[in-house]
Amino acid sequence: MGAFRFVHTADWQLGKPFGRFPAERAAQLRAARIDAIGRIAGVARDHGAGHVVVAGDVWDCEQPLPETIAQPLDAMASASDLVWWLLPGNHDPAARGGLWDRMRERGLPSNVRCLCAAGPVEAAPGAYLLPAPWVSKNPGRDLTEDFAGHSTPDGALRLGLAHGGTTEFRQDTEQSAAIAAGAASRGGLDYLALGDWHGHKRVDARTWFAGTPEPDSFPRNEPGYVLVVEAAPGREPVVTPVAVAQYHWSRDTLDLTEGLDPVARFEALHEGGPERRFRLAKLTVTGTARLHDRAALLSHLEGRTASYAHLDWDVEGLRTLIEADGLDRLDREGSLRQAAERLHARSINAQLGEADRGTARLALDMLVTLAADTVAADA
Amino acid sequence: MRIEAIRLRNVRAFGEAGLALEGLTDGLNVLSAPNEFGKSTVFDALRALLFHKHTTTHREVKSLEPDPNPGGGAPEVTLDLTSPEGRFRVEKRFLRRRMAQVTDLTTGRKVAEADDAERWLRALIGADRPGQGPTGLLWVEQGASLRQPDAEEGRGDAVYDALGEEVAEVTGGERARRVLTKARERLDVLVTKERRSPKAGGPYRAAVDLAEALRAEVDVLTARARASRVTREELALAEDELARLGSGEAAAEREAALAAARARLAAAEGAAAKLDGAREAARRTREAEGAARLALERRNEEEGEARAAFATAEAAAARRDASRTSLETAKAASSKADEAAREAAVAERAASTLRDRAIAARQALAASEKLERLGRDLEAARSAHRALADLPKPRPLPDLAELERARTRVLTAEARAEAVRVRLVVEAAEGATLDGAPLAPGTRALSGPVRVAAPGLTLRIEVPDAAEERELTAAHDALCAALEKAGAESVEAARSQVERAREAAAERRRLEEGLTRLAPEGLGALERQAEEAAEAAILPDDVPDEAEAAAALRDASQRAAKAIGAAETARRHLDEAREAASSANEKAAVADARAADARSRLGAVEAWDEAWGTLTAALDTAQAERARAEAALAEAEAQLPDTEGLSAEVDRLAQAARNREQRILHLNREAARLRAELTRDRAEGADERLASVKGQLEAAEADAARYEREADALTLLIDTLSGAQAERRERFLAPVMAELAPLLAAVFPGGALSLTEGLSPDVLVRDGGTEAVERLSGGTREQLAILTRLGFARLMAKGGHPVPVVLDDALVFADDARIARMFNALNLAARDVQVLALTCRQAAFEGLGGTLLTPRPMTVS
Repeated sequence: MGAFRFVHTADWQLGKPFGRFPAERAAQLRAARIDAIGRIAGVARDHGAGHVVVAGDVWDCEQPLPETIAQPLDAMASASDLVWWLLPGNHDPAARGGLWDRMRERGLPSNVRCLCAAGPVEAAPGAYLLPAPWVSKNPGRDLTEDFAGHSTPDGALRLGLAHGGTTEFRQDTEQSAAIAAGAASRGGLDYLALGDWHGHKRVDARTWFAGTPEPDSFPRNEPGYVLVVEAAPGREPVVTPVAVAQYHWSRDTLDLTEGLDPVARFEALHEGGPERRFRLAKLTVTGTARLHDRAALLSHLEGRTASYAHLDWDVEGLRTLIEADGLDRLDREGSLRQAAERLHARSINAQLGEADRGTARLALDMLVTLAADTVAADA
Repeated sequence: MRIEAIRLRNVRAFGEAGLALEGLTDGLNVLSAPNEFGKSTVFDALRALLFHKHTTTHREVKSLEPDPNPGGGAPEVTLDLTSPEGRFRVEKRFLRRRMAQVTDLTTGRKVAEADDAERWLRALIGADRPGQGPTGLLWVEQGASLRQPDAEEGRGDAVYDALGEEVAEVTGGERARRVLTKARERLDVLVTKERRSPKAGGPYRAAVDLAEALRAEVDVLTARARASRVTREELALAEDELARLGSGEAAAEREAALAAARARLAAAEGAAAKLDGAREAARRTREAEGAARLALERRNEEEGEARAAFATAEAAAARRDASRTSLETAKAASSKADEAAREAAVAERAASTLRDRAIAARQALAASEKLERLGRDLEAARSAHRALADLPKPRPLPDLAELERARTRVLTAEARAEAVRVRLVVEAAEGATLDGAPLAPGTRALSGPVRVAAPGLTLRIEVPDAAEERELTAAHDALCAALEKAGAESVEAARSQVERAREAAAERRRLEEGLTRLAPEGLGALERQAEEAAEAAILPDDVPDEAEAAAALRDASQRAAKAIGAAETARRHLDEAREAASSANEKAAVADARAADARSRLGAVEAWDEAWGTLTAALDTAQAERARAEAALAEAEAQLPDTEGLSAEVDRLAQAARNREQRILHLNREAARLRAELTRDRAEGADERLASVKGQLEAAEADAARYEREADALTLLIDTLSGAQAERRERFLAPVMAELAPLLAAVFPGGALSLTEGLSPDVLVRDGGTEAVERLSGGTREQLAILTRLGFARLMAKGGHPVPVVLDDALVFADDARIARMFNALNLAARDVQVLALTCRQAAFEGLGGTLLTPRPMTVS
């Protein structure tokens, strides 16, 4: 058996509803996950891989809508030059009468294979897949322990597919499906393709998480990739991450210091990146800003929302610098200024609860913003 | 600023010659002219100059055009003024050959032209310097003091705005107001005004409602997803059980077991048929033995009964004989006792007779005593009876009162008649007669005619028929009639007659009472009692002693009673003996019959032992046969197989097979149902829909929370800002009120006024009561408006921004008293403020004082 090249992916979580977003945006995000199949097929072709293994959580839930099953299968079927190997994971376990039975009843495309039972499957001459499928929501044990018990012909390529966090991430109890370190070597595997962790990650030389190809949340890891793997019996695999994501989800921090233009700083954040309409950004603003800089930033963010697929911000951590100059700009001696001073005093009053201080901060923001609007209207 | 002069040319009625008002002083200036003069033209021209650009074609400016305008000159207005910067002249020409320019009057230098001039002017009156405060002037237009500045017309706004700016500057300004308005608008979209709860139709309420609806949907979908999982688990269980039940190997094993059980049962049933013969034989022998034992028992019983009957017959015969003897004895005793009783009765009757005679003798003695008493009573009674009969019969008594009345009438009549009678006074009557009787001297009253005769003379004296005499006669007649009715001769006789009658009545009562006492039932009854007593008193001969006779009678009676009792006892004994004899006879007859019957049935007693032996032998034989038959049956039964157990096993296995078939049928149906259910649930994609709705719920809840925070913040902002405004307004208004107070006091002594947010008069306090200004009369409202403006003007003047106040035909509604006080207030204000009063009420405004302006044709060009 020579080198076997394939694409390792996982955690497609098809049908994830994105219900927190407006309906139209949610539909776009759902569609992007189906579209990812076509992009993955492209990566496989580009790298001369004939097989795509999906290491669990292909679907987001046990009982998806019929179209959520049919449309991705159609997309895989249309990439007829590739074979798609699908492994049930914790989100879509192969429970009796569940999603996978429905797919079989419906009739699978000829190039799509479900790995619903443990035991070696020959994917290509001499190349064996050893799946560790989830058949229930809580298997209660490390399913990769079974790999050692599944024999394959001598000299065959042994590729394990499993789903679940490694014990490195999970400090769970004994009855955990977490995968213990060294699973690949204990199972005599040449490569262990893992799913569950949404960022792509090398666990050891023979073990990788592929991560989700299309991100679905504001990550602290690196989603949006597939892995092109070249494996050969007894050799360390060669693994190449390839970016495929359409939408970019980012968690950004803007740490302001007095005197620097916060609007410019914000604009610089996503300058040169993907188009903003494909970006979902969660912004946390910290540091210190003058009253009018703060108002200007908030006003700017409000206006900039339309450019983004999603933009939200948290300014709770931003301290507002109240000084005479800022107040003068607001109102030299009138009631606006007096109200602003009182609201600011309230917002830093340690006698009040955090909720009340937050309300005062928000009221002050509104005051400054509304006052700025009236100036703009006058102008 | 201060106005020094106003000039206009080609403005309405003031044509080419124009009009000049010059020499305006710092204080009160008055232009008093008739209606037709055109004061309002001055006013409007001044307004056009100050507030309209020279390039405008505003209708207000167009209205300045003279009509007709033969010369075709364009309207021109010039204003000389003093400001902190110096003395200036502002000139404008409108509509044609338009022009605007400002000249420094001190240097003669042109300060600004055209648009620059407009800007200079706006800066002067503060119209284009928001936040800087006004330095314009205050107007009171004809009738306009009654209303708020009219924004639509665009007139007066600039001044009001200028004033407003001053207020706004202090209270935080127009911006604060706008911020407040916007904040309120935003809050109003979110929550209701009263309770600040999410408002229907607003996004906050929409988010809250949506969240609630989604929560319900989550519940439904969660249940559906759970149901789907449960259904899948049930289906898996059903399929597993079907697989187990449907397995071929297990089915074959179960069928073989059933067949073997059936074979065993058939063999057992063959053996059972043979057993029935032995069972029948045993039954027959048991019956035979029973019959033999029954015969023996019956014989024994009958023999016993027969022996008893024999003994009974013997005893009954003995009792019959004894009873006969007793009967004879009793008969004799009874006869003897009867005789004794008869004798005793005879003796009793004799004793009784003797005692009766003794009693009769005692009664006769008592009767003779009674006869004697009755005789005495009878004699007295008879005497009383006679005396009663002798008494005169009572008669009706005369009515004494009536008689007295009649006599009184006679006496009265006599007295009256006497009074009127003719008096015959005879002085000498020698030889004379009166009605034949010698006539004696003296006086006589004549009651009727009399004849007096004297020798040779006969005198007949007639008396007149007097009423008194007639009455007297009538009275006499009445008295006589009454006496006759009473049966008396005189009244006195009648009175004694009555007396006698009363005495007789008393006597009668006495006699009657005596008679009643003696003979209460009448004299006859008393007589009969006497006769009866006489009869009873006849005493018989040979009277025995009563006590002895009674004792003898008691003894005889006792003896007779005893004899009768003894006779009755003897008779009862006899009856009993008869009864006993009869009963003994009957019983003896019955016993004899029974003994005879027994003998006829059982035969002679001597043959009984033989019959008993025969029956005993028959029983022994039957017992032996039964024992044999039962032994044979027990042996046969012991050898029989357990068919019941075998039958139960066969039933069990067959039932189990049927149950299994039914179970399979049921499971197949159940599985089909569950699959159908699943198909439905899958089609709905319960899990995915649930996840989707959960996300939406999270978003809706976040929205609701955000709106809540926003509403809280807006509320806080509004409260804080309006609080700050209120404080500052208070602070601002204090000096305004201070300036207003003396003016107000001049017109409304002791009055106080509060202002609205828009600085217009709000509430007037006077004479201890409060009145909303809008409810006051038009005149009072106008006066308050003027005073308020003057107050502001004073404040501005003291702040270094003097503002002229222009009054156009103001105080039209003021009465004489009030107008005088208003003049005082105007003069008071004019110490600090330049006032220009335009009026057509020359006479009314004579008392105003101030500097009278004299309009002249325009000379300065």
